[in-house]
Amino acid sequence: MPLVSTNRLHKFFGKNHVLRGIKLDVEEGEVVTIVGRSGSGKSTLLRTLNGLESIDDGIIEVDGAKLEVDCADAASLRALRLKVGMVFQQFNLFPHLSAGQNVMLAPQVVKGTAKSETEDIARRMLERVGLAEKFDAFPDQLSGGQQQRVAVARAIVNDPVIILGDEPTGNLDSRTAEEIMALFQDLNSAGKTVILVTHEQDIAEHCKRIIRFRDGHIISDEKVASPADARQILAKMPAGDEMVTHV
Amino acid sequence: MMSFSLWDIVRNLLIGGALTLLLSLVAFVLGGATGMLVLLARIGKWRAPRALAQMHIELFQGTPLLLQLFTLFFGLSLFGLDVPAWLAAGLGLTLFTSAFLAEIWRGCVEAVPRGQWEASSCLAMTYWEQMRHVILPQAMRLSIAPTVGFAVQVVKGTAVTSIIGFAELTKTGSMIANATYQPFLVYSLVALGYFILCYPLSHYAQSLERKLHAAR
Repeated sequence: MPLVSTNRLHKFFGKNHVLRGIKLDVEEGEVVTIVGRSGSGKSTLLRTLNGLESIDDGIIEVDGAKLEVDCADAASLRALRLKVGMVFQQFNLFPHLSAGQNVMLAPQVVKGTAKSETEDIARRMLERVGLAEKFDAFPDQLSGGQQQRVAVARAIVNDPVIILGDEPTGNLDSRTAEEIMALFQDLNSAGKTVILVTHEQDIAEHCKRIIRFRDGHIISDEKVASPADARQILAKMPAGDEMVTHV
Repeated sequence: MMSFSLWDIVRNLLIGGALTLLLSLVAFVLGGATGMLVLLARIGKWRAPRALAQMHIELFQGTPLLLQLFTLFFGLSLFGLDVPAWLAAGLGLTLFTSAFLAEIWRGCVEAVPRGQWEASSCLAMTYWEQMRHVILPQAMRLSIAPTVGFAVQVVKGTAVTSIIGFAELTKTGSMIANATYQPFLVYSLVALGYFILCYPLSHYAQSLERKLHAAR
């Protein structure tokens, strides 16, 4: 049974028919990338998978949690979102909180975990993304790559089964983008299913499966025989910031 | 005719000034608390409280403070309710302040980028958890300057309550000016009193802004 399944998914923005009957299955442990031009609907599809966008027709099933039209009540959305972590192009860290507090917030508030325990969890998460020493740094004291790594740490803190990335490397230079892709590949090796949206072909080639999107349709769905290994690419690149540790 | 020394004038103005300060505090604290409730209703998901909050804001923003005070002071007495000047002044300024603060704060909440709502939604936070931990702390920082700016307006707005007989700074000044025939001196001192009350507020706003900016 697929981990993520969408069937005859439709989405309209006014008269604009953005998703046109999408049927998509993603198995557990896959790293999938959805590529397409701006406005093709790829980000909208991704955002429907955790209820950031409502749907106008069809059904979404994520690890047993169902989302249907008009059935997205608060409890089922909360259950779904605990299974799905998300990373954004703009990082969207909370600027009034330190890196550590950004990561601590969800377990503390959503799961009611004690503060001392969440601090340990947050330190472990930041260590996994190579930023243990930045626990007390605020987002505006971090580089773009570091902010995105904190965002990844925040996205995995609830131990989701799926990580979604909406153009997660879109605002980063090529070396930092490779570092972030290395993180996603490591997360996948650790058992997480990863679904990314990008318009960068070289980023898409890091994934085991590439889905091409155009005008709200899936136009191709291919397996990649040998995805690019971000760590190997990083090893060949000129030295930059510190390397991220393995997750 | 009774004679007034400078100290007599200043002493009486200090009493009026204290009442102005007290009325401003009451209006600001109660108006702030009411304004927060109006804000939450105004930006909330439920239609009826939203409509009521909007009506409250439009009513108190769309009518002069003076008329609001007249309505409370004279209007309620038509229904047999004897409203003393201090109560009408406190209640009127509280309602007036709540409407403006709710609207100022709504602008600040809406200025928090949409990505912050989305990121906190993705962490499975409920609406109230988002408000409490993500949105309001950021909106609060944005709201400091306009809120303190409005606090200065509230302090100066207390002068209007002199019309219904509340003996705050302006009313006290007016009575002393009538008794001493020294309006220039008295009203200059009254103006100085308002400046002494308002200047530290503006100064405090600037330092608070710097401090909160430094701490994000």
